[in-house]
Amino acid sequence: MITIDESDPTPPFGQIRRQLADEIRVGNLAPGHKLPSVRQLAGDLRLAAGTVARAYSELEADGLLESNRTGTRVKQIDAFPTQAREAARAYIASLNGLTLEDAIRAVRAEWKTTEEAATR
Amino acid sequence: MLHFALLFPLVVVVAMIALAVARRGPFRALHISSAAAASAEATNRRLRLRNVGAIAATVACATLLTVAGLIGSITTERQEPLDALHLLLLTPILTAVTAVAFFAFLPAFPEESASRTADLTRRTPLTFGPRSVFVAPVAAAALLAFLIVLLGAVADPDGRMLSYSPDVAKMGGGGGTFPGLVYGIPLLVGMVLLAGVLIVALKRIASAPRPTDASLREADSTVRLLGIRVVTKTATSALLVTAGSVCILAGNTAESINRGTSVDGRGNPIPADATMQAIGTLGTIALWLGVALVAAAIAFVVGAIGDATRKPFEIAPVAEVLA
Repeated sequence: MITIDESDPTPPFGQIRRQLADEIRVGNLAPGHKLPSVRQLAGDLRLAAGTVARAYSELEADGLLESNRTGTRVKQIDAFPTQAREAARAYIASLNGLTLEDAIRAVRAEWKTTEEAATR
Repeated sequence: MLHFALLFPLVVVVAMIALAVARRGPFRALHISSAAAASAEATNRRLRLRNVGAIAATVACATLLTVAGLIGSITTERQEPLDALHLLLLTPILTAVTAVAFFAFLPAFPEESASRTADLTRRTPLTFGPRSVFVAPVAAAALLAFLIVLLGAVADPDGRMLSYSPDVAKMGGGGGTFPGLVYGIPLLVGMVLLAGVLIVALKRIASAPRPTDASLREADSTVRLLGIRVVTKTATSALLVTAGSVCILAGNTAESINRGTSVDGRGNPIPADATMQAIGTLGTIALWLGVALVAAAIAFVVGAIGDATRKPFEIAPVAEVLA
């Protein structure tokens, strides 16, 4: 399921791209899964067809989707390792009312600190 | 040709009378959240407008083509490359093309929420309509194609007549207009056009925007199902009435050949040979087959108009839905 939130500062094509990439990487969309046509998805989300087409083409460039004459399908990729997903799940459970953006910022900051410590 | 030309308008008129007599209630009673009720009612109103427009366009198309065919039958020579019979035979298919194109438009459920959702599954006509719905137009198309090829093979080399003479010296025998390939090929082209328009219409109905509100999903599916039923029944009825017309025309000519051979040029009776008798028998069979096909077409037209004009859903109280 894709959700477009008008209050989100990310432009609609970015919201589609991010949510689709997450669905594919966590394995909710299996390799070979046929995605809705650009027209169908754009109609459901009340967006211009070009917006959805841009998200699809950028995901293709990222190596997550492939298109041919019959439509757009999810490409065979290495999903997130189970270990990473379990750690993420534990991290989410430990968060007390933190937003997703704050949680990601915290991971990014700690990631940077750990990398800097490793290079010293 | 007059009775033949009036066949299709007659079908439309009979279907409309049948519908007016037997107005039914809504197709489904659904529980829809109070927040989405206004959207559902607005969609019902838009569907009514679409139906009125589509039916008016269809009737206008059928009438115009029939009148043009009738005028053409009076003003044009029968042996011209394109005579009025071409137009009259194509009238049901061209009318169905108009109807299918109009009924392919589904009004979207109006929504004003700040967030919209979409499933990541491709919707196809099979998502909404059972397979049996799609069998009828395919079977009707196969039957019409078979009849066109068969009658094309049986017709005279000119492709528009059938004649038979058991004994040329006695000047017996006869002939008449016959749906050979001169009439069959335009019908095949029309059939391909109708198939193309039907496929596009079905894809359009399936992929039309769906509402975000979960309580509107069943109403949305009902609207799509009725749309699919209308376009498939319309296409089926057009193909069946065309097949029926072709059979009646062929049967009528074959029977008249058999009748025409009962006397020779001087008015003396001549015995019918085995071929003449076979032509007569096959003519009778073709006539009855044609009548049966037209009757089946009427049933499909009535069904299509019934589905097209029926209110797709009404908002039912919660208790009624649970019961």
